[in-house]
Order: sequence, then structure tokens, then C-alpha cells
Amino acid sequence: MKTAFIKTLTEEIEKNPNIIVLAGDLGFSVFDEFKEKYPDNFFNMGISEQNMIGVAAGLSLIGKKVFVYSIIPFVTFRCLEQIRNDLCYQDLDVVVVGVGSGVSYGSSGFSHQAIDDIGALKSIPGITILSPSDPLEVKCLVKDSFSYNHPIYLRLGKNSEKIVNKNSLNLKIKEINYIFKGEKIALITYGNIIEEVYEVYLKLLKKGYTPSLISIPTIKPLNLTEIKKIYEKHEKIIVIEEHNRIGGLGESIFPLNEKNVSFFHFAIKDEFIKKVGSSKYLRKMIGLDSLTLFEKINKILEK
Amino acid sequence: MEQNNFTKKCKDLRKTILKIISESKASHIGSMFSCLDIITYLYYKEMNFSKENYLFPERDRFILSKGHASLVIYSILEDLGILSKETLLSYYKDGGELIGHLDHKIKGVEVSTGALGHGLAMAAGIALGNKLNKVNSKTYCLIGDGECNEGSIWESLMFISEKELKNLIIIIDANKLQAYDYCETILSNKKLTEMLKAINLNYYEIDGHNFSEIKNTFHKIKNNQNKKANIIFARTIKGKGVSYMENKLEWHYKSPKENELKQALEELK
Repeated sequence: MKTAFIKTLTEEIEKNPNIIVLAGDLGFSVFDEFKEKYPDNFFNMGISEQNMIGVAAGLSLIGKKVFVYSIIPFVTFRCLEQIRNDLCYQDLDVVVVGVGSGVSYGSSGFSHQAIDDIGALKSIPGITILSPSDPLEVKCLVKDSFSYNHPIYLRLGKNSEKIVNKNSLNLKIKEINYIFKGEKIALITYGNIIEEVYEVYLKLLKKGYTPSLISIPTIKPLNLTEIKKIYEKHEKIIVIEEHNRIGGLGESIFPLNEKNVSFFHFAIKDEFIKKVGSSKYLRKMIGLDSLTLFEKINKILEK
Repeated sequence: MEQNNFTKKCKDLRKTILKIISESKASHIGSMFSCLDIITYLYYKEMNFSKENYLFPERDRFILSKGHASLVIYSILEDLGILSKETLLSYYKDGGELIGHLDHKIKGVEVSTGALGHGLAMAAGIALGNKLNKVNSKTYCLIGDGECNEGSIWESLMFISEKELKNLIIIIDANKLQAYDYCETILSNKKLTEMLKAINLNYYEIDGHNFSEIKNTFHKIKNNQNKKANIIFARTIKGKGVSYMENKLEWHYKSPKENELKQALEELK
């Protein structure tokens, strides 16, 4: 996802030299080429996220299109008030890019993991929250962000994520992405956990089910009309998210279930993850690996 | 504007603020009066900023980081003809247009502030943007000495120093009092001037109520040949101009009652 992000940005900067990237002393191997080629458009801001967001706001007031980059907790929690007051209240054209969604930074521990970031940001008026599912969604949403003109939080994974979309994908901010249109069952997700959900989808196909696999990368603002349609067209809604069950997408779309369709929510318990392990290991531990998910979902469907 | 006109302008603005605060029962009059003289100097004597050009990209910009002194800016904007009297009088009132702190939605206001430690970073971003765009304009940012408690201020100062933002002038309103005590007795403000000098900026220390000192300092800054950003440590008096408010913590909160207002207006005649 990092590669898709920087590639899309590099293509755009050729046309739009107004783009500025501020990095919080991170981006090794991500920005190497970019900062070499565009030294006036890239600033290493040091380990000072509060200043970084404020400077982004100031640059935006002068008409720059600013991308701010760091690991998720540092570029969200550390400078939450700057995001709220400087970017959102003033409705500025700044994209806050965070890397390491969910347990992507597994063994690094809780300080680097991002299982509560969406909840922290979601209640700020005026923020747009994007958590694309694969590198192709990253490309489409970053492209759309160039003309969006409002504050965005772009939540990325790391690198080498599985591509689940078709190359021809055309996706805009606020749109819902039906990766596979099926019937009766809707598997709804966002972020790089789609790797696991996609495996679940394949296993369900083998069992004879034909679910829809739906990515909702725009967590805020929600596309209410399209979400209502999902409820209308399916009998069972299954939301899978690599985030605290409090504050995530499930919590946002549950109240839209006006016809009382069966609703199941697989998310992370309201606890810090205190065990050590890779993202693969931790996903298994919190029950968000494809095998555990499939077993639980299969049981639900057999009932 | 020479000294007499300047003194009169400052008195008039103080009177305007006194009446509004007294009527709306708002706070922070002490914090407003400590920085009023220097802000008045900037708007009337120093900055390229007027009713005609306040939206032009090349205007000079003033960022009030200590947003609780907002009424100083609102009153000046009204005096310059950018805000209406009616808008100004709606300060802090139910259904009014002007919130207690500074709001970018108001014509002539550059950024919204209120939470401390935000304005300087935004000013740095504006100055950097102008430098990149090769726009010849200046950015002025006023912060409080109490505000220097905020870590974000020091993040910004290091950045400003490193990026050589010559087009940025920082003013510290050193009124020695913060919200609940003297700065000196809360955190180590005794060393504040030394800490500021240690950062590689053009450093000036002045009496923030003295017309000639203010004038000479901005003159020196204009003639500076080096690439450094500028910082003015302005020694000020909280509540300056009204005898019973000067150096009194309670005027961070209180609004003058009828008899107090009368006495203050008398003193400012």
C-alpha cells in the first residue's frame, strides 16, 4: 500500500508541483526516490507531530496540497487536537497518511498498533476517513484525494498486500466497492484484513454459498443510500474489521439496519493487545484469521 | 502614526474592549491588555494589511496564538472597517457571530486559535509556504509566556530555526502571569529567555508597552541581512492601562462591574 501511495503521488506531482509531503522522520525506502527528485516538495519534519500538523495547516492556507506521513498512532493520537482544531475546524485540504493499520506492526507492540484510531477520529466533525483494502483501492482513493479539498485521514497497511480488486477498478471517495456481487450473505470489510476475508469468501464458495464481498473504504462520511441497499439485498450482514469493536465501521452501520436483518460483527475486543507476535500470529490470537473467521461464519450460516 | 496618535489609538481600543467585556461578562481582559499595544503597532504601523488588501495573497499576516486575546483583533478589524460594529458588539453573546476565542470564519482573521500551542506551527507553515512561493510578505505570530509551557511551541521553534524562516517574526507577550499563578512559580520560566536565546533566531528583548522600543525593534528586523527568523521577547504587564487590573491574576477571569468600568474609562481619558 505504501508503494501504491507513493507511486500515485509521484505521477501526480509531475502535473501538480503544488504538492508538499511532510514526513515525521519516517519513510525510509518509501520516499528515497521522491525526496531526491523533488527536494522542494518533501520535508522531514523530525519527531514532532504536533508541529507537523500545524505546519501542514499553514501550508494549506497558502494553497499547497499537503500530505502528512507517519505511523498511525503518532500521526493521529499524538496530534489529535491539531487534527481537530487546525485541520477539521478550518476545513483544510490536508491528507493525514498513517501506516500500519490494525496489527500490521504486530511484534512492535501496542504503541505502534492501530486498533483504535478510527474511533478516536470518527467523532471529529468534517473529517473523511479512508481505509482502503488493497493497493488498487489506495491508488484510486489517493487520485480522488487530489481534488477533494477537505481534511482526510488515509489509513494504510504496510507493503505487499494481496490485490483482491480487478486492475480496471474505478473507485471514488464515499463509494462502496462490491468486489463480488452475490446474494443473501454480505461480507463487509475494509483495510488490509481483506486478505483474510477474501480467503473466507473462497471457502464459503466451496461450501456452496454465494456471498457478496464488499469493501467500504470510506468509513466517514458513510454512503447511507448504498449501505441501506446492502441491508435490502441481503439476509445476513457480516462485518469484519481489524479495529476495536467500539468506534469502528460495524458500530456506524448497525443503526442503519432498519429491517432487522441478521447482523454479525467480528472485531477486536475492547482491550489492548499485550501478547507478542507477527500480524499473522496476532490475527489468529484475536480470531480475525481466515480459518477462525470461516469456522465461526460457517456455524452462523448452518443455523 | 507617531507616538501621540498611537497612544490615543491604544486607549480607544482599550475603552472599546472594556465596554464589551463589561457588558458580555467575558473573561481574559488582562491577557488582552498586555499584548494590545504591540498588536496595535503592528496593524497600524507595520503590516501590509488593510480593508482593501486583507484578502490579497501578498498581505502580511498576523497570527494570534493566544486566542483568548481575540477581542483585540476583533476590535482592530472593526476599527479598520473590515468588521461591522454590530458584529463586534455580538462578541460572546447568545446568537452572536464572535466566539470568545479567535475564529477564521470572521473576515480579516487568519486562523482559528483558542487551544494554546497551535498558532506558531500554523504561522510557520504560512511563512514556509510564502518562502516556497517566493511571495514577499511577512508573518507575525504572538504567543504568551504561559503558552511556552506547551511542548508544541518548542517543536515549532526548532523547525523555524532550522528552516531559516526570515519572513517570520515571533512575539512573546511576557506578562508573567498565566491562568492560575505566576509563570515563574509553575514551570521553569525563570530560564525562558535563556532557552529562547539558545535557539538560533534573531533575539530581541523590549518593553512591550514602549512605542520607541517597539518601533526600533521592527526597524532593526527590517534591516537585518541574515537569514534567521526573529523573536521578540516583549516584557508586558497583564491588565496594562487600568490601575486595579495591572498584575492581578483575577483579571484573567473577571469582567468589570459598572463602577469598575466607570473608573477604568476615567483612567483612560
